[in-house]
Amino acid sequence: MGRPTFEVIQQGVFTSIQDLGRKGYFAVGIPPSGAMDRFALRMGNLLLKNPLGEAGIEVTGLGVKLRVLENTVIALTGGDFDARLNGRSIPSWQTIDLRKGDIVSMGEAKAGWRGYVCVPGGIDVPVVLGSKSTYLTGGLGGVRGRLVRKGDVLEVGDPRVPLENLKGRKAKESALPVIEGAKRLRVILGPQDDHVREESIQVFLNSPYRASVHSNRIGYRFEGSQLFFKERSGAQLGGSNPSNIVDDGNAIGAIQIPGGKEPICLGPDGVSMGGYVKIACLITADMDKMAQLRLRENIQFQSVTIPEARSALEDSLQRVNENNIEMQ
Amino acid sequence: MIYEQPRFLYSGDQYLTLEIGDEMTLKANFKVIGLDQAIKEARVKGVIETLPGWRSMLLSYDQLEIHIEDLISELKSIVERIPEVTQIASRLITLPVKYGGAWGKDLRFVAEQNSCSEEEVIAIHTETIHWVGMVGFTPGSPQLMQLNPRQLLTVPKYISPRLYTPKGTIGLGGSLTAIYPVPSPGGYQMMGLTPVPIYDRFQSLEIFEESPALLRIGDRIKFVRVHEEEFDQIRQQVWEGNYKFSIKSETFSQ
Repeated sequence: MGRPTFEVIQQGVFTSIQDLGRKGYFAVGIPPSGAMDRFALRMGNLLLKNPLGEAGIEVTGLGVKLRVLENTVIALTGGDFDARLNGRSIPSWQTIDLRKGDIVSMGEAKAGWRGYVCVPGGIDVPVVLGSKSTYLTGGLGGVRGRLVRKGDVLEVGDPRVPLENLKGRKAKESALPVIEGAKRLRVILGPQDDHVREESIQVFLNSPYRASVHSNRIGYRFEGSQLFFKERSGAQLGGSNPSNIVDDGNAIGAIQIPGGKEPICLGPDGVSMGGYVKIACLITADMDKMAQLRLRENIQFQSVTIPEARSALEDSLQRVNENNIEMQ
Repeated sequence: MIYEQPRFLYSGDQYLTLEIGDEMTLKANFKVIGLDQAIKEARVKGVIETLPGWRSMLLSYDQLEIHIEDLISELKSIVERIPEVTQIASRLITLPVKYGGAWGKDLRFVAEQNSCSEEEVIAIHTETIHWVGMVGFTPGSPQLMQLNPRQLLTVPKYISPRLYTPKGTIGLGGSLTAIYPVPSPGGYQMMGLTPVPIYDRFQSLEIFEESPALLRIGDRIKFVRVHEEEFDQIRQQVWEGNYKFSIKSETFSQ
């Protein structure tokens, strides 16, 4: 059994336990869930010599404050939350030794939007349908199917290696994603881009969009130019608006365009089906980038091919490699 | 319309949509279910899971294990060799419903829209067998088609979705019935409430041992009207963990 290791003193705004998600239940409407920035979770686990899919704490916009109940080590990855250990600034992307009684506090996101607190042995919550990931709509995983709250005592599993072996491990700067700067979210057109007028596809790919404040793990909403649909012939299947189709399955990353306005890109907790045209789907590697978008940040969509998407994923996975760990 | 040949549509780099038509019919649904079974049986390399729906299927695959072109040609060969599906295994599940009242407050509107009385709406809705054509949106939520109703019940959805629908709500939108497994926003007209869970995140009742979702594509549902007292008794049985679902394993042909 896990050992009580952290007491949550401040809970942040949307803090959950996530690993790399579950599979096999999408057909009944249960999405994969899991860390939204998978590179960050994997790198955190590598730093701690955990299996790369171990569960960590995912924070959003505002971090957590934790009291340390037992000596341990952590690695903070993802966005920059101005983290402090007993009031003194601590860096991300490297191991930090913690002693019983220490206070780790994270503030508002200064860069990026999601952060991960990883720990040797992982956060110990029950595995539900094959994963520890929290899926809020279904009340599954994490801390009794809900968000992490003030007062929770989080348990931690057994570390794979003695804690002293983790001392001074740091991810090389060159292995890390660039979080600042204008972002391009790479997409693959389809499955229903053929419902959208050619000019509107060009507008979708060449004009700026802004991440709406109505964005979360279920979906990210983007504000931008109106898109138009082709004339439909025959019966109006699925609904009277040209953005309607007969319901079909939604990919995670699918970009729906209800009414041609405000594209919604589905996140890891996305709904499994719907009746709206999906113009394109975000590539797997760039879910990490979407996870780090700040609210109202500008982005542009860029069309890529499936081989390009695969290279991007391979690159992301290969960067999480022992060769990219250095000793301080 | 059902296409001559299924269409393979990219859904990003880890999903593929296999579309067999654009109609919401039993015929299209049978084809998808047949295809889904064939793909599962073939254990196609790299396929992680499938999501069969009304007229298409979403497949998730591991792009590091199989290239998309190889996956598509593998699937094409399955499509070519599977016979027409004429009958499938289908469970007939009976669900009690308390129609009308506080959580079935749109029953009168449904009656008005169908030019009949509330009692007639209930009679049609409980007499008809309902076909589960797709499951999802929220965990375990079915979309149900009325099979050979004496009068097809049809009603517009809410123009602006309500923010809260209680768990167990039976709603009608267009001609489809939905059951709300968890509290959620919603746009279907509220006809009533079932006291039994169709989703159990704790998997505490025996029926949920394999999956927290009761229903799957290809099931059929018969609604049975219950009144206040029986509704409360059933709910009590559910709470005490000794409610027995009425489920018959049958085959069903188009």
